[in-house]
Parts: sequence; C-alpha cells; structure tokens
Amino acid sequence: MTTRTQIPLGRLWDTWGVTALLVLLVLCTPVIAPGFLEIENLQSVLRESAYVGIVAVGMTFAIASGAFDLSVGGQLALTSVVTLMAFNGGGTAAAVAAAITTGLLCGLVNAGLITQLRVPPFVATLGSLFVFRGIAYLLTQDGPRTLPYEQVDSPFAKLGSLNFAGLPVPFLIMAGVFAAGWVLMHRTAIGRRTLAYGSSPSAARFCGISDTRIRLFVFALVGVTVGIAALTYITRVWTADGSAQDGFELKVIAAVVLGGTALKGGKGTLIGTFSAVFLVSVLNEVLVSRGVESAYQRIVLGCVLIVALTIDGLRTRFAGPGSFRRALRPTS
Amino acid sequence: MGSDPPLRGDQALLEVDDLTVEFPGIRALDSVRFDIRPAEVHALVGENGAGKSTLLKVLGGVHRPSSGEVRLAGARYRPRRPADALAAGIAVIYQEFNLYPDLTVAENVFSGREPHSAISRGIRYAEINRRTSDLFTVLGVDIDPTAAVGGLTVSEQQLVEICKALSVDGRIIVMDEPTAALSADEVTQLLGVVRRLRDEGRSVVYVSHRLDEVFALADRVTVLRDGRHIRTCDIADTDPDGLVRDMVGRDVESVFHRDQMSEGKVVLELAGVSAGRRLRDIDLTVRAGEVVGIGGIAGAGQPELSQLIFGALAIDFGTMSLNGEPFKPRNPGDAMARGIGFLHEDRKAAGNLPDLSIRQNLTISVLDKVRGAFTRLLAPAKESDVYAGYHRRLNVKATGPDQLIGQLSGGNQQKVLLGRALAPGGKLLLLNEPTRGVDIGAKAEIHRLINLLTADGAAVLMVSSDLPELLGVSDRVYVMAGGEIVGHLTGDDRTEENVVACATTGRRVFSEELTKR
Amino acid sequence: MINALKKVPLLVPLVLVMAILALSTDTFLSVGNLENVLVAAAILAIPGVAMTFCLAMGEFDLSIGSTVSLAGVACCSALIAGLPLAFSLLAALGVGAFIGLANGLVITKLGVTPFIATLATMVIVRGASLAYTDGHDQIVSSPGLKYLVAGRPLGIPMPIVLAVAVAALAWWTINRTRFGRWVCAIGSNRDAARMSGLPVDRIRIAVYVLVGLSGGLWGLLISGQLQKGNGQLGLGFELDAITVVVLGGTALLGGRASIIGTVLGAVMIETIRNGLNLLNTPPAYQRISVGLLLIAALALLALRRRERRGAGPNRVPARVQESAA
Repeated sequence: MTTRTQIPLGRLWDTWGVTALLVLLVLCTPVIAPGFLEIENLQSVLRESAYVGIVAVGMTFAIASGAFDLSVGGQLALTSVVTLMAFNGGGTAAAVAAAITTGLLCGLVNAGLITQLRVPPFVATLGSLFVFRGIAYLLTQDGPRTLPYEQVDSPFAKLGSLNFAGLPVPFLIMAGVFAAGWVLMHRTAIGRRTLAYGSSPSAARFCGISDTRIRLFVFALVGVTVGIAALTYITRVWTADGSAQDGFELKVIAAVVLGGTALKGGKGTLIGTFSAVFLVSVLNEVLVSRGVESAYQRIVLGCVLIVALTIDGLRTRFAGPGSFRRALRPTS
Repeated sequence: MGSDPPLRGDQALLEVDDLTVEFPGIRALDSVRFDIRPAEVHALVGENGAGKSTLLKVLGGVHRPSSGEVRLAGARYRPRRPADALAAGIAVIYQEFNLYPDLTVAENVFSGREPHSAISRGIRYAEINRRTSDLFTVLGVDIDPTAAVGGLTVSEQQLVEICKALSVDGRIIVMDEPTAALSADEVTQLLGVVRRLRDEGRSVVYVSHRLDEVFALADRVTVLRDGRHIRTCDIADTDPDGLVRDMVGRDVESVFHRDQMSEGKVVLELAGVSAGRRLRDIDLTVRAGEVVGIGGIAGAGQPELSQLIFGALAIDFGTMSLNGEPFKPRNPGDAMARGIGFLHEDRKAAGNLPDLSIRQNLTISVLDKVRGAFTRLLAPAKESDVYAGYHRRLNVKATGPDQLIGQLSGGNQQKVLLGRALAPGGKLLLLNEPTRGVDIGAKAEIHRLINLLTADGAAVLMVSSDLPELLGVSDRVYVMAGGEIVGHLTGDDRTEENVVACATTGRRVFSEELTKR
Repeated sequence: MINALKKVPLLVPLVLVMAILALSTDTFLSVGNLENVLVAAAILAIPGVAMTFCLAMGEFDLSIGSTVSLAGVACCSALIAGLPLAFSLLAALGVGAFIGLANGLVITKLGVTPFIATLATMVIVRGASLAYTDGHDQIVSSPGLKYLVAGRPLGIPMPIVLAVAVAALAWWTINRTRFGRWVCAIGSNRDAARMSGLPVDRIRIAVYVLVGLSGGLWGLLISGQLQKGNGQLGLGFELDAITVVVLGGTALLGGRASIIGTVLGAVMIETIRNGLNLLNTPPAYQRISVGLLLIAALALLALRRRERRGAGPNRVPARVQESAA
C-alpha cells in the first residue's frame, strides 16, 4: 500500500510509552542507583525477569481476549515440581516434555472449566490456582523437589545461568517467546480472532468466531508459556515446592496492564508488555540498591498497578469514539 | 406540592417548548413542542428514530435538553437525574424495565423510599405489602406483593412499574411501548388499567406503534417525525390513515427505486420454521437476483429471523434449504462457509470491532483467504488487496486501511461492515437495517450497491424499519408481527399503508390471496 | 420442609458428609471434636457473612486475607507496646475498616474494577504487614486476646457467640433493612438502582468497609488463637471467605444473599477439613479441597441457571430495538 497513515500521538504512546519510561529510568540509574549499569548486574536483571516475561506473553493474549488467568502462580509451582521429577527420572528430554505438557494440561483444565462448566474465568482460575498449588504441595510433602547435587554441572541445570554472546539464555528464550507471540498475535488468524473477540464478543460471534475456541487457545497458550517459564525458573533456582513464586500472578498481570494492554480486551501490545516487565524489575533493582526491603517492593508494585488501572479506566471512560455519548447515558 | 393551583380541564399540566436535544453528530429532537393536560391519555406516535424515546428521556431526567424549556404546572421543570423526575410526580416506564428481578414486588415498588422503624431500622414490610396490594386493587389486578419480580411475566412486571409510578403519586405516567411484548389478553388488561388511571385524574403519555391501541385509548395524539413535531390533535379529528400519512409522509420522490430484476432460482427457503417464543411458523423464499424485505414494528422478530438463518439462533421446528440442499447451520461460521453474509442492525454493539482497524474489520470474516500459500500466516499484502477492492467498490472515506473503524462516520462504518458481509462470497446477504444512522449520501450509495449486487445474481434478505427504504429497495416485502409473518406484499400491493396496517392493526394481507379474489 | 431444602441446598450434602465421617471415623462425633469443628466454622463464618454482602452486590474482595495479617499485627504490636487491650482491639478493627474504605474509594471514585483493585490492595497490605514486622513474629501473651477465641461465657465458646451475634445482625440487616435490600438491589440491577436514586457509591463503600471490619475481627481471632501476629497470617484466606459464600448459595452475579447458607458453608468447609485431618490425609489435600469445592459449587450454579433459563417464566425482557438517539 502506498497510502501513508498518520499515527496519532495517543496510539504511539499506547505502544511505546512504557518503553520511553524504561529508557528514562535506565538513563537515571547512574544517579539514583550507582552500579546498576555494570554488566553482571544487567545480566542478572535480564535473567531474573525472564520467567515473568515469558508468562506475560501468554497473559497478554488472555487479557487481550478480555479474560484473566489468576492461576499462573499455581501452574508455575506445579509445572516446576513435575519438571524436576521428570528430570530426575528421565533426563533433559523428559523434563522439557513434562514442562510443556503439564503447563498445557493446566491451561486445558482452565479452558474446560470456563467453556464447559460455564464458570466465569477469573473465579475458575482463582479456584484452580489453589488446586494447582495444592497438587504441587502434595507432590512435595517430603520436602521440595530439587536438582540432585551431582547434576549441577549438567547442561540442563546450567540452562538458567548460561550466557550466550553475553546475553543470559533465559533472556534469549524470553525474547524468542515474545517474537513468536508477536507473530501469533499479528500474523495468524487465531491471533486476529482473539483480538476481535476481546474487542467485542457479540460482534465476533457474528463474524463466525467461536468463543469456545478462543478460550481454549488463550488458556492453553498461557499454560504453554508457563511450561517454558518453568524451565528457565527451575534451572535457575534448582528447587521447587507448592509455595514457589507466591503472588506470581500479580507480577505478570501488573506487567501486562502496565504495558498498555487494555483490561476491556481487544488490544494487546507485546512491546509494551516487554518493556513493562523490565520497568518493574529495574524499579525493584533500584529499590534494592537503595536498601528498600522486598516487603516494600510489594507495596510499590500494588500502587503501580492501581495507578496504571486508574489511567486505563480514565482512558476508556474519556477517550475513544462514542465515549462522549456513553458519558451522557445515565448508566455507567 | 400542596400549593399548586387547581388546573382546569384544557389547561396544560406539562408544557414542552422548542425542545432541542443534540448528540454528537445527531439532532435527536428539533424544536419540539408538546403538552399534557390533566386526566388525559396523550398518545405519542412516530416511526423508529422519530425522537419519541429521546423526548421521554428528557421528561424522565435522563437526557438534558440542548435548548428549550419544559414547564410543569407553570413552574420550570429541569430534572438533573431520574430521581428528580419521580419526585416531581413524573414516572417514566421505559421499555427496558428498571426492576430488580431478585427482590419482591413490594420491595421494588418502594425501592429507595421504604418506610422503616427508627429503632430497629427494619423496613415495615406489613405496610409496604399492604400499600402495594391496595395499589394493585386500584389497578384492578391481582399480584402477590411478596413474589419475586424475576418470576413474573412481562405484563405483570409492567404492572409493577405502573404500581411504582402510583406509589409516588405520579401525576404524569409515561409508558414507552408498553404492549410490545404482551399477548392480546394482556394488552386488553393493560388498556383497562390505563383507562382507570385517567379516570383517577392522572395523565398518561402513551407511546405506541400500534394504532389500534392509540385509537382505542387516546384523547389526543402527537406525531413526531425525524425529530420534529408534525401534528397534535384530538383523536376524533384524525383517522388511522391520516395518522399513518403523518408518520411516514415524506418526499417519496427522494427514495431510491430499484431497477426491475428478473427472478432467478430459489436460493433460500424456509418452511414452518419456529424458534422458541420469538419466531412462529415462518414460510419464506428468497430467489437469486432479488431483494426481499422484512418489515414490521420493532420487536416483531425480524432480526431474530435473520439470525436464525445465519446460525446464531437455534431452530426448534421446520426446515431450511439453501440452493435446494438442506441447510442447518450450527453457528455463524457454518453459514459463512456456505457463502452467507450478515449485517447486524446494532452497529455499535454487535457490528464494529472497535479496537481493530478498517482493514482488520473487513478481513475478519475471511481470514482463511488472506493467508500466505506457504507460510499460512496472514499476509498484509493480501489483506491490503482485499481492502483496496472493497475500498473502491464501497467508496469508504478513510485516511487509510489502518485507521480504527470507530473514527469513521456512521455511513463509512456501515460500508466497511457491508464489505465484511460481502466477503464470504456474497451469494446470500442478510442485511439488518443497512442504512440505520447513515446520512443521505451514504444511504443512496448503499442502496445502489445492493442494486448492483443483485444484478450480479446475489440474493438479499433485508430487514428494515425504514418504510421508504423497505418499499423502494425490495422487490417483495414480508411483514412480521409477534414473531409471525402477517403479510406478503408484491407488486402494487407494496404500499406504506399496507405495511403499516399489517404491522399495527393485526390485519393480514397476502398478495397471493388478493389476486385470487 | 422441601422449601427449606430448596432455599439451603447445602443441607443435604452437609448431612451426607457428616454421616460419612461419623461412620468412617471413631472420633468425629465426639463432643470435643464437634466443638472444634463448630469453633473453626464460627471463625470462618464471621468474614463469610460480611463477604455475603459483597457478593450479593455482585462484587468481590480479594484483600481480606492480607487484612487478617495486618490487623493481627496491629493488635499484637499495640499490646507489645504496652497499650491497653481495648485500644489494641480497636486498632485492629480500625485497620480493617481503613483498608475497606480504601478499597471502596479506589473502586467507586477511581473506577478501578473491584477485582483488580482488591488484588492490588491485597499485595499492598500484605507488603505493609511484612514490612512492619520485618518478617518476625510479634509474639504476645494476652489473656484478654485469648479470651476472644478460648473464652466460654455461659459455657459456650466465644467465637460461636460472636458468630451467632454477627450472623443474626447480618440476617436482619440484609433481609429486613433498607441498607440490606439496597445491597441486593444493586446486585440485582445496578442501572435500575441508579435510576431509582439509590446512593449506589455510598452503599458500595459501606460494604467494603464492612468486609474490612470483618477481616479485622478475623485477624483478632486468628492472632488470639496463635498469640502472635506476623506477615504470613491469613495467606489464601480470601479463597476461604469467597468459597463459604458461594457454597452457601449466594449468587455470584449478585442480587441474592443467604446468611444461613453462608454459615452452613463455613460448617461444611471446616467439617471437610476436620474429616481430612481425622482420616490422616496430608494438609495439601485441604488446599485442593477448597478450590475444588468452589469450582464445583459454581459449576452447579451455572447448570441450574441454564436449566432455569430454559423453562422458567419471563425474566426482565431483552431490550427491544428502538434507537432514536
């Protein structure tokens, strides 16, 4: 096409705003957090952000379709435990297969609850969060599952700590997942249909889009990303039990929402999610370097989320076509 | 309000002067005047989109006028919220009831005004149940005040709304299409109730499409058309034909008349199709190269019929066939795979995908066709080709394919959605209100497009509440009422009078039978 | 009788579970054990009753577990600082009410979805509790606080007395007072509530304050039991509170509330937990069981709803198209 399209500033900000903030924050670090820009520290930030980032890709699809998956923390704990068990029993190949399969199964369970039993997504995943965590606890009654000590030098165990061309392998995996996610969202039919469904479920129905299929795709995708994330997670910490990554769902949802993916669905920005993941971890890093305890980091994260959502709410209330007329109506 | 001066018979209780209500892009009411006298039933009639609902919402405190004034018993009346209207004694009963299905009848009637004990804070249930009962006695109906509203029939819920209006001692009770979903017996009961209200000294504004009711009930009638006041007169000074002329009377010359088409073979055939309570025993055929119109008042089942054909509504009885083969779509995807295109009447709620661009809105129904042969990924180049094709054909005015659909004018949005409906193949098109909320120019273009499509052999089923469009664009017209087909008009029988008569008076007109006689 | 069963559908499964436990264990029916179950159920019923208001309104509060922790910490640290018992108790309740108020304001004034807003406060409050305690236990030895859980006025365990009082008050409020009916009205049809001029936002804020208060009381009871407060208290309690209400038959989409159902829901959960204990199943099963119960209850509700929609009389009719504006 030769038509030049003017991209309004608002849309530019939606996609790149968080990235701009991230750049700004990083530029400030020499002053507010000396030592942040050292190579090893940067590598550590990239590495530690990977598993949140990978699941955030799946969650971006979920939120873009107008749903949440609250169970990702439980999925991650369960998948990590199962993966460690599989590795101890059958080696690297078994571990990888187990991670993906377990994640996928968790996602299918959620999708089944939502489409077949008609339980609203967020309550269904709230319930399954506890079920998944419970099963993980069950499997680790005799103590956390760990990588055996004699295996710490195996390639699998090193996956989480290796660097490739100076970049941590988990980060590279995350980048790969983001790239795949981008193609999935913008270059495949199912990705487009997911956005359409999130934009207006009733209109999507009349475009021949099946809501069962969208739910199935989205929640299975979240499961698969959890499987991949579990691989980078356990090869980093080498141990997992039922309590692994408590509060994980919030970190992931916060990253997606902060990145500019609207809660009402229909729009997903993976670039925003990518930057938001690092914005949160750089912020944490800065806080840590200034001696702020991890407990306060939760508070900061929670506040950031509320601020992001207030902005999101204001934007949907006061912007966009027809919003004025919507505001005129008595019902909100 | 005890100090109100007593009003005499022909002195207005409520006066509306030069009322204008504007929404972005639309002037819903244009210098309308209107008045209500004490103890009268004043009917308000007009076609869909004439501005009746807007007027009611101004009275009910939902919309605020852009200019003009409303006076209640001589004093300026400016409700800021619905509760103000109620406090002033104006109770508006909207088509969409404001009831709590989970609460009891009495709780609904007294919601927000419950008498209660000062000490225990408990609501005086004995009192509200008794008072509700008393009000129902006044209305001459028997409804248990302690029943849950969700379990009542629509007509009983209507009576609960009326009861609510009486409980605030409403001097003016406004009813918006109260009989749209009622059976014949229930309508009779309601008419009785309205008469009782008038005999009690209350004024009733009665909005209805059904002229038989209007003539049975009203003292005076006001006609609105396109947001303008056309006529107010005593009911004795007019007759149904005159009223219909006032309602539809517009320059017939300006309406599109389509070229005569030769009829092709039958594309779609429905025989004895029923679906729940919405559609009953529908027989219908659509041939290649013809436009078949479906008319009737709102709520008669027209959109449901098209949704059923599109697979979005389950069929209970009867058979459908497409091109001579049995056709039983389980979902819209099935119907699209057979080349059926669909345009929803509610562009905003079920048409636009507001977060997607024009191009994406166009191609969403044919994503399989815009994929690369090898990669199976969506190919932007192919999508752009599709866009370019429809862009030219539909003459969409946009800055480019990546503009969000919500940023277009209503007419251009509609053209994009029309393109989406054409994309699956364009053999059979189900178009609901193809020109609703569209300006004159775009309207003409859309009509021309429909004409061109049928010339290429497409079959079109068009639901329209716009009478000139219905008659001008379609070759044959089916009229629906209460989920049934009550009229089939061909040739010279396709007159506005016949359509309105079928839709509003319960008369049945079938051209086949007329010619036989 | 059949009517009563219809209103409280939980009764049958509860009796079944109890019968099974009575037959399969020797100890379930002992007085001591039954009292344990009832005391635990009473403690759970208190926040459950408050959460019933929230769900009847069609909303959720996920922050209650964190409130338990911060309220417990507030009380214990006040006691440690040597402040009088009454002040310490009030401090805990005040913390709860404040959290509820914050939730209510964020939801109504900033327009953040209840579910996300309370998810965020859940993290913030938990963070505050962890930060304040610095990860340590605040151990107290307060007979007064202990009395709240272990006291026996007239021979009845104190939590049961509290729960009965709270439940009775709540039953009266939700079924007989304007406030209670307005809560159900909002849950039933929020647009209609606005149209009838109900003070919708104020009611919503009040309900969140109520839930916060009950979280404060819950924190006091838990801290009283353990004689300590810390940042880990009440982890996952929000699920318990919501499950109790859903089990009790209060609709997820609002409009209806069953206080008796909620109380029975609490008894049900604690009976199952107790039974799993008696049968020597690992504690992990208890976590799973609550999640499964929630999902099962919701699935059943959805099924019933679908049946009702199939055959029942007309609900409020769908909007009939008439778009003038």
